[in-house]
Amino acid sequence: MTLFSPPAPTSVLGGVEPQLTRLFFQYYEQTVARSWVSWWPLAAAALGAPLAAASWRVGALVGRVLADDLHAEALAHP
Amino acid sequence: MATIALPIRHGSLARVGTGIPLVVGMFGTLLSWFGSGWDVSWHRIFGRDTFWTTPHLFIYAGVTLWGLAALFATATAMAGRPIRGKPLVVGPLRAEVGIALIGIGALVTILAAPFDNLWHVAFGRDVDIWSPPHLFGIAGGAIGLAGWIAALAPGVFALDDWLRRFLRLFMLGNLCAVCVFSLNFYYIAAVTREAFFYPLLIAASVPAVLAIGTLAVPGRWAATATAGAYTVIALVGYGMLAGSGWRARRSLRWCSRAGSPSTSCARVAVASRTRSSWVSASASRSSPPSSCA
Repeated sequence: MTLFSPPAPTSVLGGVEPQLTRLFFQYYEQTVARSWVSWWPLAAAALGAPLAAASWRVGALVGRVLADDLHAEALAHP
Repeated sequence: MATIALPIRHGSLARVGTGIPLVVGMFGTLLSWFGSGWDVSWHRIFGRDTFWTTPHLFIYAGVTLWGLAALFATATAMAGRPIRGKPLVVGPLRAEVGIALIGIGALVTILAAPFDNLWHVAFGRDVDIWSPPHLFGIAGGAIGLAGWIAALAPGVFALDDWLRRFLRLFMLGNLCAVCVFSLNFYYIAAVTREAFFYPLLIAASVPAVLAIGTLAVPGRWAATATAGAYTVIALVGYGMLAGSGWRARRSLRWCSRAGSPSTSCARVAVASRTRSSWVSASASRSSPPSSCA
């Protein structure tokens, strides 16, 4: 996938913002500018799948508490 | 005589004690929902601003109505209104768990307001959404919406089942919107939505709401319906802002204000410049997505 990709553009802001590191610029250049020809989306999928599964489980736990429906007495609204 | 009069009194109290909070709370939800969308547009148009903006007043007026609704429901429960579903009792205070959560969420968000104002006094105008008072307020909003989802259980409010489910979906869509709103510049400026950290943030937050949806709105396609509710809510808000001339056309003006040491602003600037250089370097290839939301 990355064999024939164009070179990542270099930032014109390097050095302007001293708080940012070269690695930070490189990360943003690669993930924003050519996200679909880099490995970053695959890394996101690999890490995101278990993260999404964990999020789903947490939501299911919270949902069981919130959606505690169908109390018999609750249905008898005057 | 008393055995007949008491249920009638309680029945009337139950209707008033849950009917008024429902109407007031829903109006508050609409105010907060519109205020939140307007707030993002406001910041994209005017840049960083103080606490006392009109959209903020909408948000806080809406949340205050949540608080009043929860207070009223609690007061009527203390006066003898029968509690429907799970109760939460703290000393003399008693109400349904959902209504209590609405009140707690409103309190947390309202307490975040003076905290946010102090933050502005100490550090100046807003830099981004990820400040402690903002996160405090967002957490309050999420707690309140969770409370509405719980309070919209069968029997708490005198509602037809289709309307009750519709309102639950509306609250679930809003809870999704709170998750997306809390993503800070990833939400405000499309150009920042890069290919690694942004998907991870979405993966960590949104599936939880979809899972809540599968339990709160039982039946097939519940998660899809929850996602659809968020989409409709976002599109309606977008249409209202566009129709009233408040839709932001450019999102990076807040970063062009000089003197910001903010890392997040710099991130947006980097992302913007990077995409610009990508465009100029690859004019012959297919064009990338538009640079702003």
